[in-house]
Amino acid sequence: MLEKLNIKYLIRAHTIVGLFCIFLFYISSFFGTITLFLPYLNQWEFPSKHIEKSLDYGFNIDNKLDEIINKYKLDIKNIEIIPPSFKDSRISISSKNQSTIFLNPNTNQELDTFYEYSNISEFINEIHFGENIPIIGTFLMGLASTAIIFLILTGIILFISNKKKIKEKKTPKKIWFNWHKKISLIIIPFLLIFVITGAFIGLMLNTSNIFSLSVSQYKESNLRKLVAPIIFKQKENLPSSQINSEMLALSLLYKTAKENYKNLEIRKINIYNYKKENSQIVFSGYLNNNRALSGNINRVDITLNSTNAQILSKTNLDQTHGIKQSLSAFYFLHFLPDETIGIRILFSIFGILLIASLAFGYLLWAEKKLNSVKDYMFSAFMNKFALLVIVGVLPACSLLFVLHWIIPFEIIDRDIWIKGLFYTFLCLSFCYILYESQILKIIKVLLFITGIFLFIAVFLHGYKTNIYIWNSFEQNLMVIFYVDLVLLIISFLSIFFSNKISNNGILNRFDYKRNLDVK
Amino acid sequence: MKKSFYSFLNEPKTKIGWVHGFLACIGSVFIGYLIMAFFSLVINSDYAFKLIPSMIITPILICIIGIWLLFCKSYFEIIKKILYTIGFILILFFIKGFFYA
Repeated sequence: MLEKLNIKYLIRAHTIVGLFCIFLFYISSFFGTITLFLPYLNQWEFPSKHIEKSLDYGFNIDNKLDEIINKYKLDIKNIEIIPPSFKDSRISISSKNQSTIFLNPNTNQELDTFYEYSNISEFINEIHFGENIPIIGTFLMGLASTAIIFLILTGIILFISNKKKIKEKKTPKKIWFNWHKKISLIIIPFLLIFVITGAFIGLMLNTSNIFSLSVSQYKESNLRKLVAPIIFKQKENLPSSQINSEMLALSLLYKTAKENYKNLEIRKINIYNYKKENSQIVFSGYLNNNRALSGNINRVDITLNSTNAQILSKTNLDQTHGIKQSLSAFYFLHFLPDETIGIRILFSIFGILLIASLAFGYLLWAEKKLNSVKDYMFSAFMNKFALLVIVGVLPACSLLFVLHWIIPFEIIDRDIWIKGLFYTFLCLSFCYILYESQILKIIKVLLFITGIFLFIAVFLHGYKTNIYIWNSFEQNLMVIFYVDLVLLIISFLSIFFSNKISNNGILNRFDYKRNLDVK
Repeated sequence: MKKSFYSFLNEPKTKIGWVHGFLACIGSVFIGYLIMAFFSLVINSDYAFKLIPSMIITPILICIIGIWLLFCKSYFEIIKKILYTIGFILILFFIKGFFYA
C-alpha cells in the first residue's frame, strides 16, 4: 500500500496533468471517433463515389485499360489498379507521377473527378492528428497521448491504493467522480491501444533522431533511411523490353491468383511492363483469416506471369519481417484499415465513452473550484473554454458538412474557405460563450445550431447531387442512404435535446456570476 | 545562505508544486530516452529490431519513471534520483562504447 502522502501527490499530479491534456485529447478523441467512419463519409462527400455496389465484380476492364493507357500515356513499367472496396466504390488506375483515372465498376465509364480534390473528411483527420497546428501539432498530440498513459497508470494505482471514499451522499461531485472512475476503468484496454499508438506516431516518430543517431554511431539521424530498406522494401521495376506480347485477361489472372492464394483479399493490382514479353502482375492484399498481421504495412502478395498465368512468387505471412508484422498489428488496432462497419461501431461506442469520461473528469475539477473565491475568475474562464471544446465543436463540425456542399467545387482555394469559416465559427462561438452567462442556454443554442446545420447538410447533399435520401434508398446506394440517415438522426436528437434540457440545477451552478457577492 | 538553500532542498513537501512536477517531467523524459537509446544500442539485430520496439516502449517507460520520481518528498531527493540514474546509464553507455571500440 502507498503512503498517504504519495497518494496525495498522485491525485494532484493526475489532476494537473489531466487538466493540461484534456482539451487536446478531447479534440483528438472527438474527431478520431468521426474518422472511424471516414470511408463511408468519404463516399458521401464525392458525387463520383455515388455508385451502386456491384456484388460480383468481374474485372472485365481489359479493353478499357488499353484505351486509358494510350489516352493518358501511362507509364507501362508499373500500372497500379485499385479494385472497388468498401472504402472506395470506384476502380482507380494510375502510374507513377501521373494523375489517377477513376472508373465506374458497373459500366466501365470514366468518372469526372477534376474538382473533387478537397474534402472535409481529410480535414477532420488532420484535426485528429493535430496536423492543423503547423510544426508542433502532431508532436503535441503525441505528448497528450503520453500524458494519457500517465493518467491511466496513476488512475489504476489510485483505484487500487486509495480506499478513501467521498463521504457526501449523491452530491454532484460524487456523481462526476463515480462516472469518471467507472467509465475510465471500462475503457482502459481500448484507450491503451490508442494512446500507445498515438504516442508512437505523434511523439516518438517526431523525436526518432535520438535513437537513429544512437544506433548508427552518430552517422544517420533519419529513421526512415535506416528502417525503410528493411521493412518497406518495394518491388523494383522490371528491365525494359521491346518485344510485345499479349497479356491474359485480367479477370482470368485475378481468378488464378484467388485460386492459388485462398484467403487473399485483393486490394491492389500492379502490372509491370504492361503487354511486354516479361510482363508480371502482382496481386496484393490482406488475409481474411489474419487481418491484423496483414494490415496496410504488411500486405501479402502473389506474382504471376501476365502472359501465361504462371505463379512466379508468393509471399506468405511467416516470410515477412517480425517488426513489419508487429507494426501491422499496431497500426491495425488504431486505424482498422480493412474492418467494415461492425468493429467501427464498437470502437466508436468506446470513443464516445472516452469523450464522456474526459468530460466527467473536467467536471470533477470544476466542482472542486466552484466554491473557491480566490480562483473564481480562472475557473470561470476554464469552464467557458471547456464548454467551447466539449459542446462548441459539435456545431463547428456540423458546419463543415454544410460548407462542403455550399462552397462550389470549382473554387480553387475551396479548402482555405472551409477551414477559415470553421475557425471563424469556433471564434464566434467562443465570443457567444464568453458573453452568455447561463451555461444551459449556451448548450441549448449550440445543440440547436448543430441540429439545423446537419439537417441543411443532408438537404444540400440531395439538392446538389440530385440524390435525396429516398433516392439513395431506391437506387440501392446504401452507404449514401445510411450516412444521410445517421446525420438526420443526430440532427433530430440535437434539436430534441436542445428543447428537453431542463433546469435541474446540476449545470446551473457553473453559471458565470459577474457579481461575486451572489456566491 | 548555503545552509538555508540545503534545508530548502531537503524540506519535505506536503503538496506537489510546479518545481516538483517540472523536475519529474523533465527527469522522466531524459531518463526514459536514455534507457531506451541504450537498449537500442545493445540489441544485436537489424535497425528495425533495434529501433521500433524501443520507440514503442519509451512513452510507457517515461510515465513509469515519472511516477517513480513523483514519490520523492523533497527537491533534493528528486534531483538525486535523476542525476544518479543518468550517471548510471551514461556509465553503461561508456562501457558499451569501450567494448565496441
